Amino acid sequence: MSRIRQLIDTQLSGMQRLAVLVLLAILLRLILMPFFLHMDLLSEFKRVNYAVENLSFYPGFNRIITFWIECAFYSITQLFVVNGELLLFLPDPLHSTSTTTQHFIFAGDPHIFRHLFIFKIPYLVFDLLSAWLIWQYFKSSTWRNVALLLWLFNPVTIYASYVFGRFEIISIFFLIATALSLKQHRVLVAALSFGLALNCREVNIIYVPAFLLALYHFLAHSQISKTRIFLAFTVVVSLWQLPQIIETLTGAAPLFSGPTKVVDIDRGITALTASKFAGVYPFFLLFGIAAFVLLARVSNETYLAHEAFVVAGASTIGAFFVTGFHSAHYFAWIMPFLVLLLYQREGLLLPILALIACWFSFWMLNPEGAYFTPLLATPIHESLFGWGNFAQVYQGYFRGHALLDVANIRTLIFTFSVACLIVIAVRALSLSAPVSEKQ
Amino acid sequence: MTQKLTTSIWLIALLSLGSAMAAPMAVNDFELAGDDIYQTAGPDPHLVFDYKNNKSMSTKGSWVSIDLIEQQNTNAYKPKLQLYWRQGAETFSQTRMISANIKLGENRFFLPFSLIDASPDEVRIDLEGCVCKIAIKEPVASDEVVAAKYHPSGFAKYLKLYQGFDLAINDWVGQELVQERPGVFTFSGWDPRIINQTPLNISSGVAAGIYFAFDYDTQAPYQKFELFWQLAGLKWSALRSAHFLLENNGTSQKQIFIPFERIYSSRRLNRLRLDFAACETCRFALKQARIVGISEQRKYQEFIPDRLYYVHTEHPPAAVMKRDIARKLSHDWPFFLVWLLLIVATTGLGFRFIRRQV
Repeated sequence: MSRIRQLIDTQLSGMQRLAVLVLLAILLRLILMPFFLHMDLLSEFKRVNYAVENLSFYPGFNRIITFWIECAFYSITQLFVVNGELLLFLPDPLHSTSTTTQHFIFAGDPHIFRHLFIFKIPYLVFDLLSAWLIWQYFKSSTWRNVALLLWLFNPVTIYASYVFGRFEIISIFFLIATALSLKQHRVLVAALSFGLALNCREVNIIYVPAFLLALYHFLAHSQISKTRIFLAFTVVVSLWQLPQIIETLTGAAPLFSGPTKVVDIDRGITALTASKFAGVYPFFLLFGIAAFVLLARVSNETYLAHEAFVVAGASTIGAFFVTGFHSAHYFAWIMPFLVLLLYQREGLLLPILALIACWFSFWMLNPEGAYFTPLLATPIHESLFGWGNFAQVYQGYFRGHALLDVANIRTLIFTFSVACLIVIAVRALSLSAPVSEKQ
Repeated sequence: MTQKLTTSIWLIALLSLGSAMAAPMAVNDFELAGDDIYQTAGPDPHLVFDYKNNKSMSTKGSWVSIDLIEQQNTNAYKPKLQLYWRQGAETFSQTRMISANIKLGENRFFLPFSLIDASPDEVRIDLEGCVCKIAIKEPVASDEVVAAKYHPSGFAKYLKLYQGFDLAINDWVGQELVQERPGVFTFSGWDPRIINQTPLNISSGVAAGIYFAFDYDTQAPYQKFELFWQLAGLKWSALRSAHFLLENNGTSQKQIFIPFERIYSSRRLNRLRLDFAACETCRFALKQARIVGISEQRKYQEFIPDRLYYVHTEHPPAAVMKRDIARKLSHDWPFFLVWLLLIVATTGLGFRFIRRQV
């Protein structure tokens, strides 16, 4: 080991070190892929299996693109699924959410590890493609490396994709592609990417103001013709209405839901309005966007369009997490913006790392919500190792200290995470990338 | 009310049967109150004796003797012993435990280890339901077979579970089934099932599982079943069941064995329920239902369905998890091989990057 360390320290070039770290990141993902799942992964692939088996691909909800991508992968990987007719059987597509019994049957199957690996392949591909886009986004080699490593080793997207087994990474890929296209002044490609992102995950609709702000930048500084900006706007609106267009043009009936309501945003937005503090949220959302519009107007060339999209997007989704982490994997939504914010550089890396550390420790102290529950990570259980979970170990050390009670510590950690979010927002809104980066 | 009674009968006869007396290797919640006399001093009083040097190849069992000198709590409590044993890496567990009622004065039991194929390294003696003073000595091995009347009160039940036993066919009652005669049913409803009526009252940790032999004439390509277990004090629940699928191999004669190792509960097992898929024309004839004992479980392994899925919410023991993961990996070895190759290839590529510079 010391020989290898010596080699790495003294003999390897920067690129070689990076290549080794990238391979290490891939290795980490490969190791995790077969062993964990939330039952949502089963529900998703029961729908995918149903669509592929019946050659009917209109799911009828606002994440068509994610679904189609999963279907495309599955049309090949289904060759390696065993007992699919039993494990993924969906008698009534209108009730496609798995029951606990179905989940346990699936998790108890001798081929469970194979199936989990197969189902997560699209997430691995889009995760690595996202890493490649991040690499393209940055110009400074040092910060490019930092951003790439932050992406590859952040526990948030690793957890969301390979432990929870959720498709967030596909949506994230299109958001990163949007930022990169804006940076390259390819406004129509950016519009296409953003339009596809809108059809990947319901929550992405909250980034519409951020994207419009980027278009406004192009318009204000006459960098791109009004026709192309209008076309881009049209592309976004058209893609936003994609489910409605499909239904109108093809007469397709939704497979897994009733009639589509295009503006019916699931979970992400409904969670916003469910709390007793719901009235305060618009303030956070509007504050972030208004502050940015103001800055964009007065600072002329200080901010470029892609910076506007990233900072406004980060402010918007950051406001969502001011009230709570919600479900553990939701935090993946903020990760692409946090990584791309490193473009602004100064003073952002530390609060971003602190925020990720807060998320990690918060959920380590809340095992029922994040890992090793009967419905999550079922094929492997914490009792396998006999160590207990982190919360139990913590409680063992601090039993009898009321102030250090797990619930108190979780609140403290969350408060600290809000402080990190505020520091990030303030610094991102007041910073701009170095001129050398923009040229 | 505290009751004090005193007796003093010593167990001199035992000395001649075994090796020299030795102190317990572990004492828990007992205080020494004289030579070989112990006073309970906590909620879990027990003594552990080293038995390794005591036993021999010809050992048939062990004498355990305890003199209950004084019971200080109310006599509403019925004191009893729990006799545990373990060998090698085994732990002391309910699966290797026999209980014995005791009374004031001398109590002598013979633990016939040879009948349950045990060759313990250690013996643990727990005292339950009693604040008392006892005189106890090291268990003494015996090469002679001893009459059943000297066996602990719980031994007969343990032996029955260890050896396994048949459940009466006429104890199984159908629901949403039409019973033609005991054990023979035709299907009538949407949720057909059979349930045993007499509570089993057994420790699922001691019995190895349930075996069914039956004749089932369904034509479905896959036959789906669900076995529920009802534990003492709990209702039927889909979260305490095992699903299994049988492939239609052209014969209606079926034999299945469902191990209990993943019931995971210390509660006693009372009833079993076997649910069938709804079927309009099926007929089911139960030939045999047997609680399989630990001693015979090997010969029933071949009847474990290939597709057996346990539904559970309780934490599975680590040993069961390890077996389960090993079973899945060995069953799906082609995937495991490909996955390992991917891991090795990625690691190898990393090392290649490092070596290239050298």
